Amino acid sequence: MVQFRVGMGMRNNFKNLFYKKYFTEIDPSVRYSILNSNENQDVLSEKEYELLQRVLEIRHENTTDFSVDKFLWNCVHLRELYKLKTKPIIRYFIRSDEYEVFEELKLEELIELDEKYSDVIFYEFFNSFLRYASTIKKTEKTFWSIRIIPEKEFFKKQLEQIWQMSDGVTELIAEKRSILKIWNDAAMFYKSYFNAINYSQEV
Amino acid sequence: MRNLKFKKEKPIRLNQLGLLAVLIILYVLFGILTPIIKPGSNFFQFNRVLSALNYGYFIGFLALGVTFVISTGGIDFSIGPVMFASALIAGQCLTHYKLPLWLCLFISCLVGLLFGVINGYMVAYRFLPSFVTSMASMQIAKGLGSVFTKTQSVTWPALGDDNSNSWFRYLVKYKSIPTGLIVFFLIAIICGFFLFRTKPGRYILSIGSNKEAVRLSGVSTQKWEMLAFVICGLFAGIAAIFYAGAYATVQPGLGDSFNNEAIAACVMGGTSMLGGKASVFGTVVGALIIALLQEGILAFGFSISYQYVLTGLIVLGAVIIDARKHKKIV
Repeated sequence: MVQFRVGMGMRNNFKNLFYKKYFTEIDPSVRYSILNSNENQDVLSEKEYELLQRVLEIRHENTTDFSVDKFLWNCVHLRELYKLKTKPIIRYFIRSDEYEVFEELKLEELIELDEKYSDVIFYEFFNSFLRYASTIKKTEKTFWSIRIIPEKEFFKKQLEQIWQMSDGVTELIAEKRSILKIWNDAAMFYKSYFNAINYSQEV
Repeated sequence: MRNLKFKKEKPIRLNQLGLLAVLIILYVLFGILTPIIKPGSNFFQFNRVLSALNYGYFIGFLALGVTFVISTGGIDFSIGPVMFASALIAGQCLTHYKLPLWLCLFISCLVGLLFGVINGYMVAYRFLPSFVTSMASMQIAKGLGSVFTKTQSVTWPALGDDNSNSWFRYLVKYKSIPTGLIVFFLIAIICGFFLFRTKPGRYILSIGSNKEAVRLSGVSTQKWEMLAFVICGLFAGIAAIFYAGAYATVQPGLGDSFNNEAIAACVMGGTSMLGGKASVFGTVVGALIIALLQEGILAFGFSISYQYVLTGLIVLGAVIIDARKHKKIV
């Protein structure tokens, strides 16, 4: 088992094999099939199923075509905020409401309603990091050609970008909301999972 | 193999402020060297500043426009010839077809906008590489301007001409006041606001960072990528007005050299050729540096060819530095 930083609310492994399969799959339509397949019947309680279904609907809005991914957009948005926050002049013009990226999703209200949502949201955030990392290209466009990034540099690039959208951006702002704590913990969990997958250690 | 760890990035970079220092140092350097290289001449004259600014305005507008395109990870090589096509077509409408000046200024912007729409559509909706599309547009723009004016140059009215069609020159200069600089700064502020404080601007930057993630999030990457090209085209049309306001005569078949200078200004200012990073302030300062270099070379008595060499070296240097920066910090 990989040892890493354990914080308040931090999880250090997947709850069970079903959770691992469900939350490491990056295609939302496949995830939906997994959730609604027969395999979950022995593993998930009705309550758990409802929680997973609800958070998936909040994330994707429409569970027919999954064309929208709000958690993935938050990855993009927070990374852009981090980049803007490091600019010498522009950083003073970032509106404070830009950081309230999860407010419209009302995730904190959901957690207040039922504490068990925090687990599901944590893993769902982890899945959004996985999905974001899958979109990072291994090739890089230079002015005249395309360059293939060496493997080690590519791993660094993936981790760096995940850090920017989690710890990186929250270090630069005063935002201390609990949902961001779950977000950052999920990023740490992603890092451990990433190291485990790419450096052959167990998770 | 040891595990990879999260690494902190240095939060504040002073590239843009350093660029401002370069501008000031260059001005002082030219002032000191000019009387040495060309005895009897003086660089510290207000006319020199005005002359440099005249060059800086249209380069600045071209650079501002192409900043949007480069932010998306694309490129637009047609900006210079589109500017000339806009100036030629609008000028011909004014001098030959006697259309009202306000309409001709609108036509100039419209021509630029149309090229932007076509480029944007081809790149965003037809998935053609921006490099190829803009090269093709460049040729079309050069040809279109020549065809419309029957390969004749067009002379816009000068101040003092006995007609009411020269008031647009006040956009560039009013008596000794460089009004063009005020207009340029105002438009640059609007661009900065748009790019960094509005949703469309954020989408444009995000597309340059990670187009696939933005697409999967549900954002229409095609719409916003096309918008970047449309803005670029519009700015080429605006640049045409300032070019005509500063230099009066517009010749067909030209404009290529201004592409490099506008892109050099943009990249020098901190906009990454790989997309996702932009600096409007840097672009403005970069354009002023290019204009100052041009004026300085002329003050030394060297031919314009030296400027082409210098611009090419600046573009190369800026792209190499940008590529190395991007390798270190993702």
